Amino acid sequence: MSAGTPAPTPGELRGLIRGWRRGHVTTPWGELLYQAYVALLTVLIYGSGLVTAVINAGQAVEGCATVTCSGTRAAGPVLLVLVWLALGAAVLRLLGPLMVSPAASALVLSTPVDRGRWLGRQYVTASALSAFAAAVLALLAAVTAGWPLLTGTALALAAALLAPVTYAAGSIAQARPRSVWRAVAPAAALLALAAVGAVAAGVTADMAPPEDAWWWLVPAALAPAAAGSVVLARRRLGELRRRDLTRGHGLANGLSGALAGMDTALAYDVVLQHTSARRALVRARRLRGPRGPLALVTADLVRLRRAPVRVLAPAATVVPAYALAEAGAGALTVPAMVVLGFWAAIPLGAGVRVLSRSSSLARLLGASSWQLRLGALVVPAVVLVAFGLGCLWALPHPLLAPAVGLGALAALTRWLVASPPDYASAMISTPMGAAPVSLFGNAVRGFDIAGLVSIPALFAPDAVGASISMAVSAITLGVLVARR
Amino acid sequence: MTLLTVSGLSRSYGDHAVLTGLDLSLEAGRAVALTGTNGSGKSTLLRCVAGAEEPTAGEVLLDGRPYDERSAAMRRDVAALLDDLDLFPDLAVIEHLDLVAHAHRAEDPEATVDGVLEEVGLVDQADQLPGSLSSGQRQRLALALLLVRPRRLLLLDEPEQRLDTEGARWLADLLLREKEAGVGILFASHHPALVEAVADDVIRLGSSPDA
Repeated sequence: MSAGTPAPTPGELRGLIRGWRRGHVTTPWGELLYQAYVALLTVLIYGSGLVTAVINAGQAVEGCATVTCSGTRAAGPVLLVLVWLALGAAVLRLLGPLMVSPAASALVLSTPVDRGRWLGRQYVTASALSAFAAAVLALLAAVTAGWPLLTGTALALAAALLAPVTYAAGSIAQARPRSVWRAVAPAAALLALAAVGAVAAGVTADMAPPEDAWWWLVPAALAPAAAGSVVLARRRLGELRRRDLTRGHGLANGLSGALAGMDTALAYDVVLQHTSARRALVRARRLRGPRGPLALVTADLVRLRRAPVRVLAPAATVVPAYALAEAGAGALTVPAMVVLGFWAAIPLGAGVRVLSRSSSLARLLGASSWQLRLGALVVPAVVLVAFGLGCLWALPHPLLAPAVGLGALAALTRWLVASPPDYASAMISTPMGAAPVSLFGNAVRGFDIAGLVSIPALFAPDAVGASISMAVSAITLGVLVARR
Repeated sequence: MTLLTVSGLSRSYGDHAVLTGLDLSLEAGRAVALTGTNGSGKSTLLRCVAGAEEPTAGEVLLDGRPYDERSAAMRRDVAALLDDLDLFPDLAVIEHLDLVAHAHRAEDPEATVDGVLEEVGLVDQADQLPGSLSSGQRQRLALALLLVRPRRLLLLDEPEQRLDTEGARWLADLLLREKEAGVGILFASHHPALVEAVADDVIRLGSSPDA
């Protein structure tokens, strides 16, 4: 190509690629039709199940006996949308949100092809999907909470407008990391937390499902902001660097590999490795403190000082306990908080996780594996017991507070130290092909212990139930720590 | 006195015997090199000696007593660099070294770590996270992790890998100094110059000569 020849357009390149792919297609029509039939059947089966679940949940909401319970549940859809957007913003920030494969990076992005236009289709598709998912979620939540169709649709539309704004903010921040758009993800998290806090404080106690037509002003007001941010983000696509686009693809590949094995801990390893490699340089601190296995406590304190959010996350997760209590969850608050505590404390378990996944570091550190696990669990244990105590006033009995903390610690430890699926073990036949039995156990690790320690509290939300729950947690911890 | 004795050590995977009735002994201040083709059992032998793998038959004695990696005293004596090194992704280079020195209750951990950082040439990388190190720097860090802790026996699986020419020379010099300090070294290597410079005895594993 001479210097004067114009670069091919992204559309022309896509046409070429489409032509090559069509040339490689070997699937017969019969097979395609069969796959379409299976897909349709799957949608119908799961769709009918979802509709039944929504109807049942709606009936349960109608059974709300107290004013605060009804008010809290009426506010639920708004809360859910805000939490969804906050989680979405965090995930988008981690992944890019825009990404390209190494092949596209090497073969297309290295050429004079218009990068903005090349990425445009991915941007529009992902943005539309995010809007659709948010709208469906909001509509289902509104129907479940007993909102009228008029306001439920307004909420769905508002969610469908806010999701592309979040996506646009993520992609602009990807192109311009120092811009104010970078603050959208943490702002969304704070907003969601504030909303949960408002519910917990009883602000929504008197709320009824909204019925006024003026609720349609919300999506109407959001529409220009959504359109503006999407146009702005679309214009910035050409500014994206190749390195930022391929990084997210590598992470997504790693995550999909880990999740194919239903290994969520491995997925966390992939994320931690990705974020650490991206950070590359830190202000290292000398470890001064206890010797022996307790040196791991000092290492954990160094980690906390470097990333205080690791302790702020469990602290902020106390708030939903009070929102649940306000919603009249009663003893159900226990399993919910055990699971939330275990999730929020995962970043605190980086030390235990690395020590458990291979024996090399344990060999280097010299102490027994149980001593090292115990040393690495000190900081998570302190934080989670404090977390449990923070839930004290939201629980049916004061002794359930330490039970929640210990239960979350036991579930977290189980999640961190569990072995990956053993592909050399017996296999069972599944619709997806042969799979080891441990693959399915792997998917529920952590949750199994959360359920186990919560059962006594659910049946007896008093001192007896709390004591049994704590005993179960202590025994579980003992077994998990002592296991070689 | 003999520091390490391996007698009749065998390791099989199903019907495939990797090691059969292997004997060796190593005295303090001496080095034994393991050479051989890929798959000849060098790493397997080192893993069996380090307790990372269970031999099918035979025994490993340290100071005349069966080596049990569950014993803290024995673990303190044996420093192993095998092919399975994992690092904390969120701790900097110097923090890894501090942690290992503290975990082993080193007398002056800070001075020890500073000296080792200088020795392995990672002073400028002290604040870096492991994921950002080059493969050669990562290997130097792995060696540094052995040097900040007490040791009487070094088990090294291809310690020269990923080191540049200068690095390989430095490694030979380092291992000679370790020998002078009375440390016994059992190492696997594909680097003839390193074997020539460091090893007092060479054990060739497998049937075909080393490449």
